[in-house]
Amino acid sequence: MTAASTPWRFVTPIWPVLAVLVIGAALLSGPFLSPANIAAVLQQGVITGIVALGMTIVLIGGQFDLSTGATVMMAAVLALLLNPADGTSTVLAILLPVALGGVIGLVNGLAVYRAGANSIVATIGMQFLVIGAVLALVSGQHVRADNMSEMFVSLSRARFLGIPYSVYIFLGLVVALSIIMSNTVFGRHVYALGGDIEAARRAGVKVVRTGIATYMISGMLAALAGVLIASLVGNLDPTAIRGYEFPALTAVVLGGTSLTGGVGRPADTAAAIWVIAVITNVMTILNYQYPVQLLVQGVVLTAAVAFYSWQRARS
Amino acid sequence: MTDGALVDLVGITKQFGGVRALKGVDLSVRSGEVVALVGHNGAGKSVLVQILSGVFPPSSGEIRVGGKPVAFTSPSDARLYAIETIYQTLALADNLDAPANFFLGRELRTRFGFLDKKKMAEEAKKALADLNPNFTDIERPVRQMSGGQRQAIAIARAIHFQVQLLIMDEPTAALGPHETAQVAELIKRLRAQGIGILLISHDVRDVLRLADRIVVLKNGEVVGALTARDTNEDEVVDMIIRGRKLDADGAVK
Amino acid sequence: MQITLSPMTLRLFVKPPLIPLLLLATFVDGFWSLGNLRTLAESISTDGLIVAGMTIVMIAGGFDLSVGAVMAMGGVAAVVLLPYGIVPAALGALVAGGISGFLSGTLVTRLRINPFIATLAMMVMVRGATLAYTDTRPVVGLDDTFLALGGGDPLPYAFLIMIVVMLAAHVLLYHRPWGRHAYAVGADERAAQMTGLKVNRLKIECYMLSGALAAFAGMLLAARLGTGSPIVGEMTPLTAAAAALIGGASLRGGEGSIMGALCGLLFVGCLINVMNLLGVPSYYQRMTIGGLLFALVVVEGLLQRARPR
Ligand SMILES: Nc1ncnc2c1ncn2[C@@H]1O[C@H](COP(=O)(O)OP(=O)(O)OP(=O)(O)O)[C@@H](O)[C@H]1O
Ligand SMILES: [Mg+2]
Repeated sequence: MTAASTPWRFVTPIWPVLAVLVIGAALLSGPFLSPANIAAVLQQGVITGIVALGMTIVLIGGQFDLSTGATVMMAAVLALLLNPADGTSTVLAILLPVALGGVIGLVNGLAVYRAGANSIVATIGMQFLVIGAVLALVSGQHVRADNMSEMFVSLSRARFLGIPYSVYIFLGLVVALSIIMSNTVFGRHVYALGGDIEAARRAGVKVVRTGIATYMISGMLAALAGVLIASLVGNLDPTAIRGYEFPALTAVVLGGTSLTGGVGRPADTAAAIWVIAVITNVMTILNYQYPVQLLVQGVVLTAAVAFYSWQRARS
Repeated sequence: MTDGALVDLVGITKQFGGVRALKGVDLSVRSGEVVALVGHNGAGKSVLVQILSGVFPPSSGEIRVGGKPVAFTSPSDARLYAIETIYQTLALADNLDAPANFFLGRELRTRFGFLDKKKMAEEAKKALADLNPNFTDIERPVRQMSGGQRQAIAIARAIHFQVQLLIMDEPTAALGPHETAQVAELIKRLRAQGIGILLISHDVRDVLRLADRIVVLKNGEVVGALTARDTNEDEVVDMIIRGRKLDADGAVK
Repeated sequence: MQITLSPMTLRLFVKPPLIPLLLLATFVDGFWSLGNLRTLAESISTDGLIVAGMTIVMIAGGFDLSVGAVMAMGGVAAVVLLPYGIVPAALGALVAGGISGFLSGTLVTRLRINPFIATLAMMVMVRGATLAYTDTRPVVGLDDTFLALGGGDPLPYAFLIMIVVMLAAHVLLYHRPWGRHAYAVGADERAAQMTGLKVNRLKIECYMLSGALAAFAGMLLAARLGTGSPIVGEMTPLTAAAAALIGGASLRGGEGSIMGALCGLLFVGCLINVMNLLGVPSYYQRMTIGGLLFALVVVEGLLQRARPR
């Protein structure tokens, strides 16, 4: 299969799946195609999608980042704590969480690429470290920001052509990351890292620097997702926003990014995000609750991994 | 140090935990000279090569380029001094295609800083065609390519960028007889161009044919240096096995 | 770029600094009180079963992130089956855990899925199924025999069970061919395969063992808490992994021991216990365990680099 082996070309199987699902959903449930629902589906994918984009970059480099869910929570809480009421505080409430997300990514990157830590376990450790720190910071209490500035609220609420700004932000990120991954030296080097890290090193690729950068991108994107949540809700129970890393990972894998690195594309992850959003949306319309959705996600992840590993074994 | 040498290794040692892989090796290569490094499996040849190409630093000892001491902290440092290496275990990223591997670590860019894929594909194609005219389908992941094609990429990329010292660690191990002959031709051509070559090979006959000097390594030490013109297969083999030279009368020294 | 720390120095950090911790604990009011020691014994006994399973899986070169979810499932299964008697309840929990382990093992071996991802997916599926079945509420309906299982005098029954399991696991690993094979598979799967070991089967057995032990731990926990909760065990994979790593198991496989795991378990258990005694809020405990695990894998990474390959 060329799709699985050439990272920067060809249509991967996720696109036809998306097309079939959208048609199926439209036939199956009337309300699906209502403009309001379409906007909802698009928006539903955005938060997870932004997280998933970052994780895609890390995974193309051959590593995992499971700390992203905690980073989302950190950023959402921090943004609200900074109380974005006027211009300055709004800018701070966006930039500071994103910068801190970058710092978390830096620490992850150092641990994985400099010290050689197992990335899954290290980033799970980081996940609990961050969640614990955030909960300690707010003593487990609700955080709320009163009279958030219009600018901050508009990040997620304002619409252009009936579609929320956050969707455009997401699409912009997909385009930007696609270009970075397939048309810049950095992107090329990330693929090389995932293909054979020792070969990349010997070819003169700065593997530690490149690898750390993938984690920093992931951390910053996760934080951006958290800021968007803050802008959307304005008031949140920190213990309630977590676990974003799992649906994001599911999307990354479903999009065809190889678990061993070197293969994958941001745009495919985006397609997978919509696939999951459509499934979740239909399940919500059909009134299936969170636990069943969790179960379905696990099944989707397993099936996706199994499918791609079978496909790769065959070629 | 040897006068006019391209590269000198002086008293190089390397320790891996408790394993002493190199115990004070001196070696130098001049321009336009082919030096062969021979020895048993595990003698330390690949370790020496990896030190000289910046994969890891020596535990002690000095690397000099053009007489000046240098310290390599990464393979790209060695490349800055025009030292290129073809590794025993092919150092290619399997998921990338030939042009991507060819230019890995020194990609060509457009005016806007983006990858110049077209130019890279063209140049890589030309360079590879020089080595093997039949090798045209280069834009697919190297995972799908044969051992010979992969080796061609490794060799082509090593000689493409103004190389002064070319290190070849068993370059023909994965090749058939035809490709092996091609590599031999290539070594002669590069030598004529004034490039210094450090060749590692287990094929003593090849070594005698191609090299100017032969350095024998055993258990991490240089046990002998021979001039290819003045020696023969038996002598080299004996030195590899026993680590010493035969006397003129055939007795062991 | 170059990190030069001798393996010995690093190993000093990995070896459980248990004795200093115990000394420190002496200064914490009430650590050595009988009541507290009992609390400590109770808390480490359920975790201990899981650490034993995790260690075995890690020795065979795998990992099990699903243990926390399986523990919750085991507790719920046991409580739900309790009306049919305590033995069916226990068997039900063991079988449920075993099946989940079998699935993990199958994903890892037959489908060749990275064990972390396979068991992460299992974790989510088991958690989702348990939450769906219980409608996210704890299940009650416990009888006296079952609750008595959560007690025990002077030593908690759960603690005795944990000791017995640890001993059995030790014997299994050190005195039975199966254990040798597990180490061989973890150290070099290809080589083990070529010498004729049934690698896949052995790995599946490891995951089944881990699953069954986790589910059984869930049942003991339910007996102690008096309820089968579908949400317990979120931190369990972390504490278990930390204990196993401190005890000398490696993420690369082929290393580790039950005695080491016991030391690691005591270390993590005492750490949490001391924090509880000091009234440290749970958030900080979460942070500590996360940070500990992070530090442990960083040290393990450095160790692997320092070691000749
Ligand atoms: N990265 C490493 N870590 C630890 N020990 C190493 C490493 N690389 C090589 N060694 C050890 O150093 C010694 C020399 O190995 P080396 O690979 O240089 O042998 P060689 O002469 O190239 O042999 P061959 O002809 O088989 O290629 C061996 O004992 C080997 O085990
Ligand atoms: Mg060698």
